[in-house]
Amino acid sequence: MHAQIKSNDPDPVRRVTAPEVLAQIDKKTEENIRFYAAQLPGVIGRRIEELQREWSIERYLQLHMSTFGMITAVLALTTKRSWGILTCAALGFFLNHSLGGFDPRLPVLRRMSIRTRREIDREIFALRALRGDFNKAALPQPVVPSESVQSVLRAVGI
Amino acid sequence: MRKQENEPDRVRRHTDPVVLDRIDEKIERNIRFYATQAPHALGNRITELENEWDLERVLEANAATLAFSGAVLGLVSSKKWFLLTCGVMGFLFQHTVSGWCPPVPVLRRLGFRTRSEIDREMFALKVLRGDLREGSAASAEQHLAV
Repeated sequence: MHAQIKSNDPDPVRRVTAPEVLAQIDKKTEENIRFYAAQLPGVIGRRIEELQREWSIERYLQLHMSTFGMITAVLALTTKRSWGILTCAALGFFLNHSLGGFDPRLPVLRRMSIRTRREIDREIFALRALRGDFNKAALPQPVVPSESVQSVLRAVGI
Repeated sequence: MRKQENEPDRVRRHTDPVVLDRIDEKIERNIRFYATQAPHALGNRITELENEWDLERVLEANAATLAFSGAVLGLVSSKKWFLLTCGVMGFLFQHTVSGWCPPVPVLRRLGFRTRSEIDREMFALKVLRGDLREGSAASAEQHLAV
């Protein structure tokens, strides 16, 4: 499970997440998958819809950046110009984040278990596989349920 | 149009149907092409997809560059530059709440995909590579560890 915690993770947010927080997030995803693996297809379907609508970390970060940026920029325009220093600092980190680097808001959001779109998509894919969406393509013979959960978890990298 | 009404991806929901069809066709063509390739070619393509810049990232980089320049200029030259920062942040806010803002149609026409679209192609390739098959679980793990 901890094999996924690596510095060359293609997900920039995972790359800058503390290993223990990353392990906690992955553990939660794995628990979700194991729980829903035992549910009826209808329940899995509702869970997939819920996951598709889950707010990703980018959305929280954009929401914070845009409100904070607007407020400080308006204050810089109308009151003291030095408010602009805050705007600059927040935007500098935001730019750094978009280029794959660190932003101080990320650890706060990650500790609140906010996931990246890639992490959410992984859970969706695992549930689809367990529901049998890929049966014709990948699982021609029936397999033991516990083993199929295991192979699906491996396929999504958990 | 029909498929867009209950589309959970907000960016897809607001994408022009013609552009959306073009993006989906491209995903399908890619999957069909790579389905006939050797496993290592699939592996290379998966790595490429993992590193592909998604729409949110491109949008964030653009918004951050513009708004940051505005704020720096606002600090060192005319205060009016903060208006640029305000405008860009307004658009970003609009994007966060609705999934649409003026640069998005342009970026979509340029072919930038959302993360869920990229992941869709990536997982399809993983299925075709046989990552879900019992025997290949170990090899799949090796691929993921690369």
